[in-house]
Amino acid sequence: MFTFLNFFSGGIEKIINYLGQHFFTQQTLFNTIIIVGFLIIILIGFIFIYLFRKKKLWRRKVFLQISLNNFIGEIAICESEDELNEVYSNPAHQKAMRQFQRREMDRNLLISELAETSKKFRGITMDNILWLFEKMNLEKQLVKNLGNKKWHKKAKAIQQLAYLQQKKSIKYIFSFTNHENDLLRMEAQIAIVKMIGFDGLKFLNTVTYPVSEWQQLRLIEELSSHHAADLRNMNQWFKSENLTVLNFTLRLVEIYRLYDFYDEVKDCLSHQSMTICKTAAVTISQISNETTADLLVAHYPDYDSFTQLKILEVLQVDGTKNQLPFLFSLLDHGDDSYKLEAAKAIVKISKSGMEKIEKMVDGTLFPWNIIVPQIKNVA
Amino acid sequence: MKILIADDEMIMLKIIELRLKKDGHEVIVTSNGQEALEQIKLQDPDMIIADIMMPFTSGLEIVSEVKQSGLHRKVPIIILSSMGQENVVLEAFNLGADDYITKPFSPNELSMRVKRLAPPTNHL
Repeated sequence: MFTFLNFFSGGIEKIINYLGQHFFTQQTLFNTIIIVGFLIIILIGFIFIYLFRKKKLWRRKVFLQISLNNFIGEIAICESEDELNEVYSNPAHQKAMRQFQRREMDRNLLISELAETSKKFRGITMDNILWLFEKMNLEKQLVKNLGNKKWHKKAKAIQQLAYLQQKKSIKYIFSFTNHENDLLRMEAQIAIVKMIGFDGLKFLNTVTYPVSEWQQLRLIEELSSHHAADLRNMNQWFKSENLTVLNFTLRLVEIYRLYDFYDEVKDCLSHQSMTICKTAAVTISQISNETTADLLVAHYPDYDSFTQLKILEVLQVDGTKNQLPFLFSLLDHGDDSYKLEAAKAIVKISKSGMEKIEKMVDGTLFPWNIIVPQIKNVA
Repeated sequence: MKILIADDEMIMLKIIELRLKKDGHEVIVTSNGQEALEQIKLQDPDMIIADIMMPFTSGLEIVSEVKQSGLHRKVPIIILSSMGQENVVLEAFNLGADDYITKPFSPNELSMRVKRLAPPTNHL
């Protein structure tokens, strides 16, 4: 070991001597080592200060969270306004609250805790959380956060305003419902619907960016927790140039069975967008009347296979004897799925349908040897 | 009545603890499933309220273990969870849970359910 160290230090000395003789003086090398060493010490010092500060902040956060939990907990279980005021004016709590009011970071921590708590509780507890939020005038901080340069902080503020049911702030959130940032826009749309339900859909009047399929599902999910409201003012959504708005409107008509919009949906069957036609075909089947089946058959040739098969499914429920010639013509279709769906519709519409089909086809050959037993079950 | 609560969310623990103390119960708080199982053996609670999603041991594992143990199998267990899916609720009841509350919930409602499940001798 000793020999190795001797060899190693001797090697370094040789390198230094070589560098000194051929590239720079020993003095330059010495100065460089001193400067680099000094920089390393500064860097280590900086890392230590950073870690120390971070730990101090974390400890402070934990301390604040504990005092917050006690305070929020006591507020949450109050059963009357007097009890709320009594807990709120407790000198120990007042001291803590003053601290929270002083620093923006602490106010944001308090807001986060209140928003998180509001997600988990309902009833009086939820009302008490909202009472505290308003008592401490924290809406101002959230509205300020909406003006933050970072999009994720704005999105968080929007979410928190929604969780804390701050309907007064809808006017600020509304401007984000047509924001160029997808995530911010989606959060704003959801937030408004979360707070005011169906009335919140007014953003569809102005939105120019697409409302994605995922966002449409989220909106429908959010609406399901609100009472279905009067949706008679949907006419302008049917005229929207934003196809995703039109598609979403058709879905609303389908889900909430809005029979008053039958004519508008009917017009959508001949829309230039195939996506709209498909949705319209599905929608109209949910609000159908005696003319729907004929209407769908008339549009049938214009559609792709998915929509055509969908129409055949609709005819199984809404079809009349008027559509039988059309359905019998499909028994010769090249695609077996069409044969099956058409045969099912025939059997459902006509009592003698099964008999007629058996006369027309050879039930011993493929695919009828499979289709016939299936439609016998349907009949 | 001595009630053990197991939940990894501090604010949840605090609010339930304060609510139950207000009703006159003695409350033992634990922040994970493993700690809950240890405290059940040590403290012998009259009722258990447990979340499902917890570190180390889940609420369902607590139900399973308690209901299979000889000593505590008659202790009523209320599951408190944000998972409202039918299969999860059914699994909890199959394992032996006595009640299931889905979050968001009302602490007052929890208080009533605790009263309803309390063993007759401990009724407040």
